Amino acid sequence: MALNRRALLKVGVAAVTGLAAPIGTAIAATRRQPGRPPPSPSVRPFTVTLPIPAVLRPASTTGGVDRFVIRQRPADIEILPGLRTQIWGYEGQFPGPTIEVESGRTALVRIQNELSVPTVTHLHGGVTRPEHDGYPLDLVYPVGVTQNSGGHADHGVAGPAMGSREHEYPNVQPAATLWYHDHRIDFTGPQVYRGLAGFYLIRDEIEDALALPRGERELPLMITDRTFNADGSLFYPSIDPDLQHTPGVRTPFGNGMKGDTVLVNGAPWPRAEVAAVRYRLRVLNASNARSYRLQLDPPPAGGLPFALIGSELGFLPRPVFLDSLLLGPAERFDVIVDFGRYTPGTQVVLRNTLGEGATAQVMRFDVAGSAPDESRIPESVPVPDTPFDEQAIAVHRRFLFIVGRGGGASTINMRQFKPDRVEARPRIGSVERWEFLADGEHPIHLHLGQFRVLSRVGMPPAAQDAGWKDSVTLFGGEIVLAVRYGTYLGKYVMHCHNLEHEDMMMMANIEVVQ
Amino acid sequence: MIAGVVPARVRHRSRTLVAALLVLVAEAGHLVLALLEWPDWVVRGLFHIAAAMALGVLLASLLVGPGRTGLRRGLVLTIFLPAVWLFTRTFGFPSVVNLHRLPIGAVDAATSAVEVAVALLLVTELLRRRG
Repeated sequence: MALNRRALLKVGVAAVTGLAAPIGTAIAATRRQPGRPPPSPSVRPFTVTLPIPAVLRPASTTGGVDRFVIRQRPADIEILPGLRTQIWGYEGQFPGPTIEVESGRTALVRIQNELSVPTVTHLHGGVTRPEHDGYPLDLVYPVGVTQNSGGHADHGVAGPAMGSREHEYPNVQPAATLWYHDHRIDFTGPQVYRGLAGFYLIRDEIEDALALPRGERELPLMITDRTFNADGSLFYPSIDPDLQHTPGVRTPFGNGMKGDTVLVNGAPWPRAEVAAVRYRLRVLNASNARSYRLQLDPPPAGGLPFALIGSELGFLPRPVFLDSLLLGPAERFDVIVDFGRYTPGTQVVLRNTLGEGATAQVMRFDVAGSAPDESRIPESVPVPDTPFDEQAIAVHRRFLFIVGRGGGASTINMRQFKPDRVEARPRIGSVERWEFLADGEHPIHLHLGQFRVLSRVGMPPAAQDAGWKDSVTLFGGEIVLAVRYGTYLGKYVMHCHNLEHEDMMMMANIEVVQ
Repeated sequence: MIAGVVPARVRHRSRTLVAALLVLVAEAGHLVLALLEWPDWVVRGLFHIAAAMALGVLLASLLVGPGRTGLRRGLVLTIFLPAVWLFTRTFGFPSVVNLHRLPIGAVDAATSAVEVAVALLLVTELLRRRG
């Protein structure tokens, strides 16, 4: 009888603690969804006027050099109407102030870190020496901080700096739409998300000679997406919200943080009143992970509203006319839109056909009356170019991009980033054939390296792939590029510009050698 | 019986009951961890559920007085679980192509410490029975 009672006790306890409690917990766990961000406070689209980032005045322009000083500092700004948002911005602005320079004229840009964390500033698309490029380990510590970040700052190119760093940008490249942004190792995603990004426009004589839309008819458009908490603060799923020690995001966001609110120049779904004339739009996708396919709704009579006149690294020899623009993170397009093809009073919505719900629209252009317009879409542009013979390319390289699953590290060629390992050593000035293979969507960016798209998944490149680029988005599959590294020797990085992938080590060193 | 002296049989029984209580604490720890980690990492959530099930069976065994085989199995379990914890906090948790080192949290560290304590109690009990 005692044995039976013991057996009964054993079976009963085992049933409760060995089965019922764990299974009940498992069922409860499946119903928890803490990874889902809260919906942002609602904003009525097209009620906020499109802001244009201020142009930064140089501190001095003597000796053929333009000197700029930018402070990185926190600021409390209004992004959503009626709510305050704490950001980190260059000069406390989001986007940061636009830097405008002349091709061939050196700019010295001193970045002062007045934040609570180390920073790195990278000139995206810039042809700069490696120590000025913004290598991810070239940390600039806030004034008064002396410890390095995770102990690997010693592997940088320029080494750590305390309080500020001066970047020398020689601007030995043609007119183009570049941008500058944070690039701190392990923490680029959250720091760009908080606002550390701005335009950097290079102008030259060729551009001056073209009858392009200018002044108020030249609109830089920095498109980003963010999610906001109910109090207006930014939602970002950092494992370490202080961004001090542990990098990365919570696992559901490992494939990239995509916000539910689309911002253009820091304003939610803004509207811009435009005259019924041509406008030059410099479109930049500065989102952490979201891609956009932009279309105008309604399209103008005859279609093909976008005249693509420039790629990421300069003007195209001839314009390319497009129905839509497909932009992965970090990609830029220089386009002319002729609003004179619309009847005054038309409201033209810039839509994102890759988005759903609120993210399916970006901004609205309200076409006002007609006005004098002496601008033209250039039929040809005398761009200096370095031709190359595709058949003569001798060096072929292949890179495989695989995202980390379940919180694991993302990799290039099955290896995660290590500061002291070099993945490829291209010779300076040579052109190589690089093949990228990807398990999904990856926007790849080369520092210093410039490339042309040769093929996508065995097919000719898309029309919008024209020209020299520094960033390209793969939507799975394969892409083949002709890559050249010119001008400077040294160590640079190549990485995925899905910033959450980048922070989870999808990055590699490329050393340009003699 | 001399006043103040606990009989050996009672002392030994108390040891397994204390071990059972600690196993209950460890199981609760794994269930909390399963709740916390499942939404982000299903594999880790499943691991904690499996660990809780095994600990639940061990708890039942300890309550009714386990044999040597039961004690040995319990010992293997309570060494294996802290060993996994130690591995994932020093080398990492296996993902597709590499190891991802996990952060040390209060609940997982406390749970592992409790499991080590259970292992020590079970070793003591096994040695007593051997002697």
